[in-house]
Amino acid sequence: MKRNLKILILAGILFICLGMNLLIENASPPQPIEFKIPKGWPKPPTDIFVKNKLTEQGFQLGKKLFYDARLSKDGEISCASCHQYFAAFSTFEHDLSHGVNNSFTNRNAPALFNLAWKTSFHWDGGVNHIEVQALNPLLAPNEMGETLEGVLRKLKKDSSYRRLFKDAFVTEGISSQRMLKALAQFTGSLLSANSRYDKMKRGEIQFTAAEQKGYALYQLHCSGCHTEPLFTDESFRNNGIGLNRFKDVGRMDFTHLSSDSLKFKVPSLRNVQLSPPYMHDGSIGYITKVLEHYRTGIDTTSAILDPLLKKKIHLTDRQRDELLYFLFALTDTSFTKNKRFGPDEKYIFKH
Amino acid sequence: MKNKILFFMLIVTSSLSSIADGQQQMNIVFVNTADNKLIEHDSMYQNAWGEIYQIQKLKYYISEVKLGTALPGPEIYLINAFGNAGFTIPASTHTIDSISFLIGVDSLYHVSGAQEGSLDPLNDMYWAWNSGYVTFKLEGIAESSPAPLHKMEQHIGGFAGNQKTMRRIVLPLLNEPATYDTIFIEMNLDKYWQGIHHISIQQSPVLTLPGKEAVYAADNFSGMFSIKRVY
Repeated sequence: MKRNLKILILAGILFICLGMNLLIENASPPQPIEFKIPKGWPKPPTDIFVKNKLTEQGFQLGKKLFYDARLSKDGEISCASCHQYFAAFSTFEHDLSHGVNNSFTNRNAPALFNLAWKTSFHWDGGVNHIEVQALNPLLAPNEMGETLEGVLRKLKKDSSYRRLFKDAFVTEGISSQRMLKALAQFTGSLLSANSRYDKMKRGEIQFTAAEQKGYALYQLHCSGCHTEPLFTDESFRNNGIGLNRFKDVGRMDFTHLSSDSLKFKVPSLRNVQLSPPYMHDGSIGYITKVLEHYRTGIDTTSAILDPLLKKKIHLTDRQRDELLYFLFALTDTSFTKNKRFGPDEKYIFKH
Repeated sequence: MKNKILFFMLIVTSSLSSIADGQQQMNIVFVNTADNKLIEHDSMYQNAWGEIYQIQKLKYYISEVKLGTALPGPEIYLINAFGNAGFTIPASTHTIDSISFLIGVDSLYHVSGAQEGSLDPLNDMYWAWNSGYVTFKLEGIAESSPAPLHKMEQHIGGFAGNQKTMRRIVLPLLNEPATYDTIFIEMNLDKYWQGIHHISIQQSPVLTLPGKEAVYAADNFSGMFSIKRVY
């Protein structure tokens, strides 16, 4: 009897071991995901997922990193603190964003979507690849304030991260390259292409009369820089905001060319309704005031103003409102409410 | 001085692999000097302009290393005067009449996203806000530096258009069969200050941007490298 019990226990142990072995071997390989380019859109200038294969596991790891405040020096600031999903990944109603130790950024946090089409990043275009962009907020003393060593140390200590990195990249190991690639899989996947404008283009709906008139006004006055379908031509331009209190000269900081003074990246107009305040420094709080800036606020005699703005834009009040209706038709709530992009758990925004 | 360098060379050689069975290999060792002295922590050096300085960091990239007419290898090495200053590459038994290499890395690496190994941003040779690798980094303190705390920082980088700081170096070797397995290359920092262009710490204490000044500094790389000896 006693011997039987022993055999039974041994058999039990063997069974458990075998089961665990099976479990380990069954760890599924990363599942490829296809990044679909919306119909009628241009191909991205470079395919960011060629050398960084987009997989479900890579995307999920990137998402976890994006929402994880522990990555910052004081554990309070995550990527998502300044790039809030409900504001199309900009900082809602903040001209400037908050960094560690009650610091402030000195530029307005840009909204994040359709990044796969970008040819450069930041308002001055200083960053040339989506994968290396994240180094900036992670290391900037007025953003997440960490060191790369510090971030990696925290990740390596966490067993769930060790597992998720292995799931995403097959072999064990947490490195800066893997972390940056995973983040790029998440941010590069943020696709916003389902606004009323997109539905109209696909023939699913018709614009209202006001939207239609606004669309024509947009094509006349705005499309020179905010070109369809991404609503930015990715160029750097001086739109007449002038030198702010940070003496921010924009693109010139990067190129050292005086001809680049006060030039900033043309932002997309998509989801513009959701991402106030506006401009590189958030100095214009309301979308109506932005239109007012273009209608009456620009000193068109300025020598360094963008040539396309030298001719005054004439809009009647009614036309301004029509243009506004068109801009609202660029709002994609299926993007901001997409659970795949939003936080998995309740996320507390502290600012 | 001479004994010191010889001793240093012996230590480095013994730590690198020698000729392996069947496959010929060549050790390349960079001997970093300034003011006729080996570069060491806390030592004082003087440049041609009489400026006395201490060195805290000295790192540079070496890539596309080529022996004679062989094809360059794909490896990229980060030479650190206070760390790993050598590497081993495969070599043929044929006559090697020269060694050539690039200071810095090909522009492709500057625009292709997150990299690993010697190009990992952890190595502190990457500019995040202005994407690209630093080609050559020298940091220290100098009495003549007007920068805060008398800091001296020469971060030479820039990879695009007329801002390129990568430079190809070709050093002739004796045109005879290679009976040696180690090439010692001297990197003489004196020539950084006094080369094609003259750089003084007082005038350029901190150089951390791509542009004209960085290109000038890079032009001086060509005079900084020479064959110290083969062994």
